[in-house]
Amino acid sequence: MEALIMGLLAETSLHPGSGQSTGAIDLPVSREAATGYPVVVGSSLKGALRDKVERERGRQDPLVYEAFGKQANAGMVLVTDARLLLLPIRSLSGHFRWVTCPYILERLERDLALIGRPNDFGSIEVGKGEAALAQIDGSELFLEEISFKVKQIDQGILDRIVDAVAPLIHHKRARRRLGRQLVIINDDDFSHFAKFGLAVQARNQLDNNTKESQNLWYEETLPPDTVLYGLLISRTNDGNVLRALRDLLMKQPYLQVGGNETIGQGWCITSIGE
Amino acid sequence: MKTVWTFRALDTLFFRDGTPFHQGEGGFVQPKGTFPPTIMTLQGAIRTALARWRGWEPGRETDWPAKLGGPEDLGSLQLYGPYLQLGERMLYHAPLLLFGKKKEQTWEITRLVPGDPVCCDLGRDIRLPRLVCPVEGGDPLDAWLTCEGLEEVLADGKPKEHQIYSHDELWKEERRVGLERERDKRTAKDHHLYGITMIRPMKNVRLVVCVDGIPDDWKLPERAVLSLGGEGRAVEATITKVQMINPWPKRPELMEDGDGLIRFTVTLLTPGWYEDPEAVIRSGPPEVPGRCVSACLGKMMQIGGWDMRNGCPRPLWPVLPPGSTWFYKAPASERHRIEELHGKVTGPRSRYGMGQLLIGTWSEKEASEGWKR
Repeated sequence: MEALIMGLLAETSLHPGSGQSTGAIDLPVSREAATGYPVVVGSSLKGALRDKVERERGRQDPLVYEAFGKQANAGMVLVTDARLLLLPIRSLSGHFRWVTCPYILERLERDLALIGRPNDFGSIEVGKGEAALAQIDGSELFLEEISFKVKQIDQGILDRIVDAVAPLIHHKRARRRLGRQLVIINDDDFSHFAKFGLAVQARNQLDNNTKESQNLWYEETLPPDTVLYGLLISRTNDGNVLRALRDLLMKQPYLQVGGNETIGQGWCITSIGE
Repeated sequence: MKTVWTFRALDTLFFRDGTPFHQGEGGFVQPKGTFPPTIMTLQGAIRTALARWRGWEPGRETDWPAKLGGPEDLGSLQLYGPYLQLGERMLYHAPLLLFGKKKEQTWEITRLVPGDPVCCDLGRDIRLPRLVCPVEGGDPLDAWLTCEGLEEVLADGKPKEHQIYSHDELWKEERRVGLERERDKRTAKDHHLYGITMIRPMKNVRLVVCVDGIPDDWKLPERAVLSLGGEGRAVEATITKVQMINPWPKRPELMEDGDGLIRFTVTLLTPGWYEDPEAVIRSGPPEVPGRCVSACLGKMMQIGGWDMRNGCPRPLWPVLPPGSTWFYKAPASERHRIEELHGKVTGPRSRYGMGQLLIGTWSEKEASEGWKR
């Protein structure tokens, strides 16, 4: 089985929408039902990849149909959801932090094992209200307005996590600050940020003549510097199609996913974890 | 070769019910996802994987291994399942003779037993099921039981709290809205918005299918990623060779009553596909000896699937849902035949594992005592 892991670093805000809702936010992002984590669903990611290949190679290029299929048959590449890996959270204590939790890291371990790259990050114990990080400066860390008691993360565990996550981030500079900005918090604490920590923008449509508000709505977005990852798996014994797609993404790494393209949203840079 | 295949969803899964998509029309009825999927979906994924590992690729029909059969037969394969697995525990759909509800983390459950004979649209002297005890606001139990919990029920008892799992503990529904892109304008195409309900199994929930009859000389990987169900969603399949296939609960001891009869129940562990569903509803699966006294049956399911060879959907067929239970009486001389039915697959789709039966017991004493409306 040929498979690869593709990292997505958000260069602009992302709006992988889930349609309208009757809640306070009119246009929320799509979320996993079981965890409440934001997600770019597989069909959306696959559509974006297909569009990318069509624009780079032309609509009639065989890679379009071989990888993504056509009406009569499925393509040879299986695209999973793009899962959340690192969520940028504002910190009152300093620069923003890349926040994750043991469950997300466990999922990453499982996905890496699935594609034949087993990793064992080791035992990551983080209690409620605690934040594990590399460089401790003081006894407290503020994420948004919530205070966390800091604890030193084991250097061996941190190195293994950074080694696994860094290849999913395209920019070398960003990779270099990964270890410094990474914070691991308890699963329950992370759930709170995943549900309530995303940016919500009010948008307005004005009447051209009177400039009165015609339509006000609120939409939720994933912030720039969010890191997600998805798996691309060859459905056949022949991995040539997957390799051709990988080569294209390595040459042309930018990908637009989700809605609001015309207001600059949805741009990610992909990175193939080799 | 005997093997057990466990499937772990990588993210969400979509197994469409019989509701059609309608393009360009209004309406709010949208295709829902069902879970667990039927064996028709799983057998396709399993056979496709086996064929691919033998070198077959779509379009090269001459390379299709004969041992894997065709669109209407399974060749040399015999399947059992699907069952659910949570961590290390196997789970089975609760028999529909259980009735109750969950109230603030506590289950209130009673059994249904054959009631007094009445005259109704099914005929004269029909014994409709009745409750042993009243449960206000209850329903036939739509839940999953552990192996031990199901053994309790088969032995004329009730499952314990920790042996019952509701759907919410095993999977969540995830509504999704999709659209078609207008490729020239790069906008959403008018009238091509669709909504579906996908299924996201909880952590450690897996589907299990037992596969017998794979030739011994075929090499199988221990793990593979397969696409399963609609939208080509991915699952991790783990394939384990086993000595015996019997992942179902033990049969209770069948006791002969004072009148020389054995009173036993027959419960469907997997959906029951029969040529004459109406006859089966009235008097139980054709292989069962004795006289059917009463039954607790669920609403018929529609099973279709996708015919990969011919590139079209299979026609829908009504099947009895798992958990459907019939109450029987039979002379003690039939004991051996009855005991042999435990775990047996029945009906024209028995090779697919459909119509798998479990034998339990019931008591006339319980039916004649207790609460009556």
